Amino acid sequence: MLKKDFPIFEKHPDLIYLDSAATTLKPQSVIDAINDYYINYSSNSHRGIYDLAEKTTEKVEEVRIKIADFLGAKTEEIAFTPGATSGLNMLYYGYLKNVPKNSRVVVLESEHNSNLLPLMKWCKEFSLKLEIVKLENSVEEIEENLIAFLDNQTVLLALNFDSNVMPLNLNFDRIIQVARGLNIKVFLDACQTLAHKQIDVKKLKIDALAFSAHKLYGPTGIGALYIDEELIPYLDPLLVGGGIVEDVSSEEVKYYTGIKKFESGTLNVAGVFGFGACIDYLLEIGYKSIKKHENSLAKKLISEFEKLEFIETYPKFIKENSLFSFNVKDVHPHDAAMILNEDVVCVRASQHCTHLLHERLKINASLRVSFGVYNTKSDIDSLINSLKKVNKYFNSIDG
Amino acid sequence: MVNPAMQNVLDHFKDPENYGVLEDYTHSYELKNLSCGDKVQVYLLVEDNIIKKFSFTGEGCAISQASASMLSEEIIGLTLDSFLKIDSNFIKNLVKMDLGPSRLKCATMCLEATRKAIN
Repeated sequence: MLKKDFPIFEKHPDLIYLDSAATTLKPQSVIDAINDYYINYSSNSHRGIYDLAEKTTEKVEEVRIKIADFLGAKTEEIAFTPGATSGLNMLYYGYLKNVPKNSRVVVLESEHNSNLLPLMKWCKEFSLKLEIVKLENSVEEIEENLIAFLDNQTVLLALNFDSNVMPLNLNFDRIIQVARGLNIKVFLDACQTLAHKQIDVKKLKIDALAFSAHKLYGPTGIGALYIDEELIPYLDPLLVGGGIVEDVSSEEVKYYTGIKKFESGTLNVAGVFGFGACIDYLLEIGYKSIKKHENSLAKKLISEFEKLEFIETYPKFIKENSLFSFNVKDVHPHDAAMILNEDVVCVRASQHCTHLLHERLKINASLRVSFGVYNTKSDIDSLINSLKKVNKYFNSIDG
Repeated sequence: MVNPAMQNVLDHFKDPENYGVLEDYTHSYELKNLSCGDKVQVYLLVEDNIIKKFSFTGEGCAISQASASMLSEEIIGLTLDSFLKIDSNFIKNLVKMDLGPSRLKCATMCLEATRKAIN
């Protein structure tokens, strides 16, 4: 569909890239924006008073406005971060430090380690009880279990909006409504969501959200945090340093009270420039077109998988989605991915940083295919042909 | 057509050498690769600083298990000093495939486990 926008295909015309959930490829416009910073700006933001530095600051703030609009948030509710993992650590430290000891925090066992491990660390540090809700058979059962864990002692529900392994399609409106009724804060990890569908943080009524730009066609090393303005004053910054203080004496430090207290040190300014360009790129294509494109790819993949008796999917019955996890029966996913690599078919093969989920699925690891705007139906044909080769190599009697 | 190096890996994977648990081992170590769930456990009988017997068990990808099988054929009879000179390039030469950093981690699991067993 849009291969022409991505210069990597000029260098690697045979590339079949099906690993966009790990990171998306980068369009020319994003690369141009990063170069624009280094060639035409190259100064620090929020520091110097000379023209060049002021222009850099203006550009950074323009991108902040763009991100706020993108999420339906206010500009003063958006902080730049080095990525979602950093953002989530900042959120959990900042919030959980000040809640009563023995409070409960609720999370699902399907979470990516970027969400689960910071929760485990900071809950332990602050003597809080982390409830890891087990995945049951149906989405309805998972929702019921999750809701059953929410009570007056619960201070936080922390979930990824979309799993990086298998879709759950939870009814977030209902879950959030229950949580809010109990005055429980809701923080979301939206890394696997924003390249595929819109989130309006105010309509969804969430308190905080973290994501990385590199999963939505942007550069690595830059992300954003949304924090509801009412919550910001209660969060302490995890990382302290230059750029976040109102006053410093040898006895006392007075930090900013607003969102910028989460931006200590020099920002990844080139990353911010690229971040702005990737949001422009996404919005130019539009979520409606993206959904239509992904659904057509998904339909083809599902119909092809149904014909292959040697494919085992997780979950067993798959629906239209932007990513699919599976295995070739009796073949280790590393071996399968190695054969796919011979045909320049790039997929993920591991536990995808979800060890608890793989334990629940009773598998050591899995393959994962994930779509981007550059994928075509012909990519699916290549994948299927390579998977047949994998099965032949490893499962044929004389192989 | 499977290339000869790949065929050799598949042969070792499907019918590994020195697979199983030694009854009289003096050293053993189990190594896991958390990212893919692979594991290799090695068993050595070391006498007079010589690896007299060696075996392994494990489960995982073809590269991790085949390289263990290939290595097992090379190290029985070596002194510990000679064994400790074996490095990842030696494994690359055994496997004869182009291995990137992640795949090399799989290929050297048995080597790492054996080093740890000795140490």
